[in-house]
Order: sequence, then C-alpha cells, then structure tokens
Amino acid sequence: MDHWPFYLGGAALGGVALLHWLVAGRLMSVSSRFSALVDRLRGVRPESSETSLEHLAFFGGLILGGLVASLLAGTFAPTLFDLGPGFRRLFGDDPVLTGAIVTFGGVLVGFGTRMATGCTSGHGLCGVARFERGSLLATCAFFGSGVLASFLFEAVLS
Amino acid sequence: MTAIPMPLRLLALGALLGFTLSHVGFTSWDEVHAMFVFADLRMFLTFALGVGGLAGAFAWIRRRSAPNWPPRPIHRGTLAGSVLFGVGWALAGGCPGVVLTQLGEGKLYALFALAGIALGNGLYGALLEARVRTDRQPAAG
Repeated sequence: MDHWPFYLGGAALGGVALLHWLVAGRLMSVSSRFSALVDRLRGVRPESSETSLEHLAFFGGLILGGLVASLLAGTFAPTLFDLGPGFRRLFGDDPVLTGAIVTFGGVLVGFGTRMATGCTSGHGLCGVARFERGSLLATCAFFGSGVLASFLFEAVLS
Repeated sequence: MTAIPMPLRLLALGALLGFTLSHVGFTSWDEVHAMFVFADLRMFLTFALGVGGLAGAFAWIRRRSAPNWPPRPIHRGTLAGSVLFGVGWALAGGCPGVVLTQLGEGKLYALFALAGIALGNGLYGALLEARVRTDRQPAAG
C-alpha cells in the first residue's frame, strides 16, 4: 500500500481524534477500551461507563478500516508470519520465534499501556494535544524507549 | 445526530482510525522500525502534525466551552509503563489500536500480539494496579 505523505496522514490522524470527541463525546483512548474489556472478562467492574458493545464496536471498526484500506489498495493477502523484509533481516523467519517475539511484545504493550494508563491515542494524541503532564512524559518515554530498543536490535542483530 | 446509536458511531470512528493507520503505515512492522531508527521521518512528522493540529482544535474548543476532559497527571506508573510499552511496540510492531487494523489487513500474526496485549493488560490489572495507581481509587470488585 502506498503511504500517505505526512501532511495528509497528520491531518487524518488529528481529524479522526477530533471527530471522536465531536461524535462520541469522549476523547479517543484505545488502551482504556482494552482495560475495560479485560476487566469485564476478569469479572471486575470496569472504570469506564461505556458498554462492552461500544468497545467491541470501536474494535470492529478498527478491523474493518484495515480490511477496507487493504482491499481498496489491492494489498489484502492473508499471511500468518510475514512481518516484512526488515523484520526478517533482524529476527529471521522462524515461525515459532516470530510468534514468540510478537506475543512477548504484545504482553509488554498491554502491561505497559495499562500501567501508564494510556497509549498512542490517549496519551500521544489526545493528551499531548492538551499539554497534560502525564501524557507528555508518557509520550517521550514510549517513543524514546522504542527508539532505543530499535537501535539496540540493529546493533546486536543486524 | 442523537438518532445514531453510540455503537454505530464508534464503529464508524474505529473504521476511520483503522483506515488512517493503514495508510499512514503504522500497521507495517518495517515502517514502524524505520521510524524508530530515524531511517524515515515521515511517520514522526505525521504524528507531530496530527498532534499540532489537534492541539489547535482542542484549544479552540476549550475557549468556547468547558469540556469534561479527564486530566492526565504523572503517576507512579507513567514512566515505567510507557518505557515497557515502547519496547513492546518496537518488538510487536503495533500499538493497541494498530494490532486490530493489522488483523483487518490479513496480517494474522497480530492475533499473537492481541493475545499478548490482553494478557499483559490483565496481568497488570490483576497483580499490580491497586498498588501502583495513585491517581484514582482501585476499581471496586
């Protein structure tokens, strides 16, 4: 898929976050939806007043958006462990190792975003755009650690 | 406007976000890696422009009304949690919304990331949240 130039992508990303506030009456925050659904599964009453159906609808939309984008671009092709040539260059193409890396990364994402009470949408977009201190720190920290980790992968693995 | 049920609105918003994430390139492990090693600054610029525009819009909204936006103070989990999240993002190639959009694109490895996210979220919620969170009371059972 051809990627949008930064001005188009930036306008779309900011526009969606703004639209979320205007249309849903609350700020976009994907990881809090995960927390609410996971709490519901654990039998704990979630903090959020939204229903599970609302969380699932948003998540379904995220899936649908990816499906429509890739179908329209003609790039839809289901694959299991093809993360791309850059990933293979660093980590190889062993399916078990790939699955383990992605799963472990996911655990860190889930654990970390819940610990920090926000991710790229709630902290990175909607928090930083309001100059909230916690979001400014969180966003510097997750972009910073992502950069450091990625440079480390390059130094050790390539 | 009020006639449209909230789940439908959220479905549409999620779809717009997913469509955007796909076209920006956030759903591609290689694009995310190229961003993190500064090989391609396009997605950093995309994010910065998105935040900048949003900041302008939010400031405008605040001048005209008093929205009930939740404060986001620094708490004991902010720094450590975000550091872990960044490392996980660099490994798995997706933040929480992105893994769902990857699934829609047919990238089925995102199922593993999704399971990992649910597990990590649940582990933190079950084991540590009540002890570390300082910005609110723990959720009642």
